[in-house]
Amino acid sequence: MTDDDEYFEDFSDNSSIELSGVDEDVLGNELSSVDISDSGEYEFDDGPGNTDSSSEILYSFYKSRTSGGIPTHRLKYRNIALDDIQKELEKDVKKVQNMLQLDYGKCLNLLLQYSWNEHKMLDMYMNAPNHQDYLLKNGIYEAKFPEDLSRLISTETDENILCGICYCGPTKDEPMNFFSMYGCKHKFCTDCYIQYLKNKNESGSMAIECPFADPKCHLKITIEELNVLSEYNNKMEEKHFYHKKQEECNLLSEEQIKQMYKLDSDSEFEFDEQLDVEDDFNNTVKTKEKMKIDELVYDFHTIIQQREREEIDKKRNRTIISKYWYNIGSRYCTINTKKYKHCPSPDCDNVVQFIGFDSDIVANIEELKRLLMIPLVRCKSNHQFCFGCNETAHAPCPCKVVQLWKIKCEDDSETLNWIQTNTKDCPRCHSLIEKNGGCNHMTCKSCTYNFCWICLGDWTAHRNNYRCDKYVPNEDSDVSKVRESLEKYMFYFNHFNNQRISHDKDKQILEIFENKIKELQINSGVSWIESVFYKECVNALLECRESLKWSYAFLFYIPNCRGKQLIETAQWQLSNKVEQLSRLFEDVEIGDVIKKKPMFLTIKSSMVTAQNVFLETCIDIFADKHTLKDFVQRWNIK
Amino acid sequence: MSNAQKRLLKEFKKYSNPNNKLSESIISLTPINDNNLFDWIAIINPIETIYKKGFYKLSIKLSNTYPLTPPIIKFITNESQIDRDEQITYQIPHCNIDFKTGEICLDILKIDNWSPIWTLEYSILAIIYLLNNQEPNSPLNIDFANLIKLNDKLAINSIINYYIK
Ligand SMILES: [Zn+2]
Ligand SMILES: [Zn+2]
Ligand SMILES: [Zn+2]
Ligand SMILES: [Zn+2]
Ligand SMILES: [Zn+2]
Ligand SMILES: [Zn+2]
Repeated sequence: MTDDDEYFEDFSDNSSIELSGVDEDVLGNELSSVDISDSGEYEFDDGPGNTDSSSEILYSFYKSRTSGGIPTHRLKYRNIALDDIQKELEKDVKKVQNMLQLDYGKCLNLLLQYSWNEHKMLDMYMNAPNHQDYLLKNGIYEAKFPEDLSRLISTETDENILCGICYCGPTKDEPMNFFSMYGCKHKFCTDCYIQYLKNKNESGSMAIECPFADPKCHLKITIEELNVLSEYNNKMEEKHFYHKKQEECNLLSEEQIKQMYKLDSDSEFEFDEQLDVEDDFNNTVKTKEKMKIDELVYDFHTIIQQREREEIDKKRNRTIISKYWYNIGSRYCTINTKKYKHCPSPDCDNVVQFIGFDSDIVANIEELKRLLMIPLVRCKSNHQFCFGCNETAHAPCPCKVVQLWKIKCEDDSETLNWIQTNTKDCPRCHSLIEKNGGCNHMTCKSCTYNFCWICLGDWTAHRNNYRCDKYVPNEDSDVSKVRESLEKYMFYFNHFNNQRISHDKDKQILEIFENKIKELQINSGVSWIESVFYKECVNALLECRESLKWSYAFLFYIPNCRGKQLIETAQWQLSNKVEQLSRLFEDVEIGDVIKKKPMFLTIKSSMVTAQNVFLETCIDIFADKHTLKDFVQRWNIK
Repeated sequence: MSNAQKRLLKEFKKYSNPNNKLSESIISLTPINDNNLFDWIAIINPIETIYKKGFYKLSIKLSNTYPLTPPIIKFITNESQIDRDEQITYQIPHCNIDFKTGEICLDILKIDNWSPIWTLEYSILAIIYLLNNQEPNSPLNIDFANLIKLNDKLAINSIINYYIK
């Protein structure tokens, strides 16, 4: 007997005590009782048998105190996959099953009915005058399932039988398979039943009702019955699988492409030894061949990417059952949003599980938000997002300030247009300039003027420190207050928007870069391990760009004070490093990437240091209670 | 042929079979044209309801997931002058029918309550049933809902008949 079984037995022995203790809780505080108070209990629940499934504890900030000694009130969390939630939920179901002595799927349906509020469900069950009626009202047929449920599918030849969905029936020569749930015997052909379930699955339904409706049958399908159809469906789909397999074989394999590359480099070698006369001709042949192979490699990579995406989709939709559990898992996350957050990154199935706080005074997210702290977490695939508002990472800007800024930007979208149309010409010769990299150092192609993309001023004034970060209020001018505030907003918005554009451009360059790296690997046999360092550089760069972007929104709301000056200093140090790394990515020859690895890593690590110093400085500014209070009152942050 | 088309063809055959009489309230129920089974028209004369003097026209639109998903049915209220039929009443005052657009609020036609065993005929009959069983608590036509709540039969009937041709 395992630890788990023992535990469940204990639980069922004490169930009456447990329940009476819980009643009040449910009645008094129905909404909030589930989430956070559970978290401690959950850790306890895991028990010694389950330590393998729980990954290491992570923190929302790299330090518990800033260098200035200010506590950072870190959020503690853990990375899990949606599948892990399934395991947790299955434990809950088993617990209920032990108490009620009902089939597993019936307990699951009961829990779904009560949004996993186990106490409320048990309370209703125990207080129901007649259990059978109570179960029936919840779409459950009490009688225990037989050992073998596969008999729910039957082959029919009776010509009087008609499927109520497709209106088709069997004949003596063409028998049809029918399915019905154990509790109601409403038969539909297996094809229709499967389509019906898939359709409901697609719309995220759970505890799906029998399709019969004359009068409406409220019996709900259990996971056991679903499994019968799911497996039947798998068998049917296996037959189609053969065709798909053949289609895939028409693609070139990675090996084949490598082979072609080898041929290419060999022939290149031969060409080089030949005499000058034929050189021109050979060169064109060479380029043409090279281009063809480039195309092949490019196609190859896009197909690989597409396949990866399909793979994720397939995994999720693999079977009716897996999709059903996927729906249950993601619904569970939305119900228990204080404890679980589904990663907001598209196509990502990872989940972050809240554990607690590394703090003496913070007990929940709301309190943390009131201190203007930002609980940034990373999913298993390293996507960074905010546990507080489920947005992509927005440090150093607190959640509420992000909202304020977004509203402001919407209101001022006209000014946005003005800015965008006014920064497209070279400030000296007015020829059109296309910004193609993330770096703000621009060189005009027609007049070679070196200037700063943000302020359009001469770059020589920025050269040493890449600095163009300071808004200086023009005190001499007698413009009205309104205009001044608009000017201020435009200044910060301009910077914000430029970081956004730079972020997107960086992303584009890095995508091209990535494909070139892959090419390099195939071409010259550079190992994946050797070249993978650039990935961490890429991620760090994009994350720092995001910080810089949000720092402008943050600074817009901070009144002029010493703290603001400190932030600005830290900000330009970060921006300096960001531009350096961005430039390096843009300029480096692909052949030199491995040679320049130390340079990449050095700049990256000094950039990350600058990032940490910057974020700490932003935290320090609110260390003073008065500053915090002022800020919160001024912007009406609750 | 898709499952939806197969099923719609079966329904079509059933409704056009002279031996199989439709309800007396349903004057006709057919696809707009024979090549498109996803677009139907029904004409009703709801004889057992307070709307018995009128002939109403309904548009029925289906998707490729029918019958797993419900048909989209509404009263036709804005037919162009050319297509207008003298017999048809294009205005229907009813709590759960939008007076302007003809949209119908009926729970069985919502995706969560719909059952795939129901047919187009069943759906139309459910709408006819709704005509005499108004739900003033979830109204699409608030003015009319107030009359129903007051149960002012005289006013109700005269408004309905005012619009009937
Ligand atoms: Zn069928
Ligand atoms: Zn049934
Ligand atoms: Zn993710
Ligand atoms: Zn946030
Ligand atoms: Zn120029
Ligand atoms: Zn500048």
